[in-house]
Amino acid sequence: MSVKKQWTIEQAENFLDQISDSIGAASPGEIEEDVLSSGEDVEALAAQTRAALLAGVKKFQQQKLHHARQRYKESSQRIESRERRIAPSVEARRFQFFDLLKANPGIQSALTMQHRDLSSLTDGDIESALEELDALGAIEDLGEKNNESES
Amino acid sequence: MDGKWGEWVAPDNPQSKSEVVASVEEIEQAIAKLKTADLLKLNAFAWNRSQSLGLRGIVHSGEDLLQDAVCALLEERRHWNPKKVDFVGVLMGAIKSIASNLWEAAKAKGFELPASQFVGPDEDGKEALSPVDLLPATGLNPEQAAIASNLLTEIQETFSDDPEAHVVMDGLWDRMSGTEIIDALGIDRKTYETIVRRIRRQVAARWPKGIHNVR
Repeated sequence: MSVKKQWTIEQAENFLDQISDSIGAASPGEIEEDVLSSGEDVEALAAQTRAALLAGVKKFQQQKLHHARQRYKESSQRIESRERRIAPSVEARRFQFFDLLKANPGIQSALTMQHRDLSSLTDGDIESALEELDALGAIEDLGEKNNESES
Repeated sequence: MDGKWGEWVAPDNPQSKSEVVASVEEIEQAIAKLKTADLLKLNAFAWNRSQSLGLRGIVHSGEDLLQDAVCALLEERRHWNPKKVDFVGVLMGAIKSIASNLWEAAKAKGFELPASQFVGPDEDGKEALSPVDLLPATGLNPEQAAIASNLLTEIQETFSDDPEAHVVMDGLWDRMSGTEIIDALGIDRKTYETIVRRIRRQVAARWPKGIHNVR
């Protein structure tokens, strides 16, 4: 009388590995025959598989959206938490603005076209230009440059 | 693994990173074009790998693996040139690689389960048991291991009138590879594959539920 063999986890793993090799080498038609012979609902199983694959696309898109939202939130928080570095009075702002351009002429290219005609700048233009520059970190950079030249 | 994979993309040799990466639209089109038989092959492969993970107490369903494989392609962790490589093959390569990584990560860090496997509080606000509470820290519990063992014994017993399949199962029990079994039995690969195909069908018929679902 033969003794029933007990299978360890490692033996069962080897068994499944060889079966997976066999599945990989088989034609899709052969696998379809396997499923048919097992009595499973072929169409339902295929639909379930397609749905799982499409769920992968959806998961990727949701992750992408989540990451974009996260980046936007972080960037908004960074801008909001930035200390306002624009001078409080009209005169001081005008001085600050031209000081910025003098220290870094390249900054002009970061401004919009309407701000490039510097002689016609209104107080409002200067304030909004300073706000844009502040958001870009240019005022902070100017402060650092001034500190370096003072030391 | 002996490299006889037909259209299979060997997972250890992914395509060059300079290959074109598929877009969301291309992946969606490729999924839409899959025939019933292709889907069944993918399902069988993903299910097989999930069962292998289940033997080690890692709960990651075949559907999780299929979903992860598509995600990996889109996240450019796996590369696929639609003009050159079969979609079924590249997905199977991704599934095999993901399953292998899950097993390696589990060995290195202790066992982790996907978020989808966690059960939140029920309507009464009572905390439901998560699979973490239900699973052993490593591998199957003795009862599950006995069920898995009996299942394989039963499958082998179905071949009492098929000595070729019975002896191949003996080889698998001895943890021999396909090539080792071929050499030991003095048969050619085609004969071996035909025998394994008979065993594969018994597995499909008798192992419909996951081992990790047996409690």
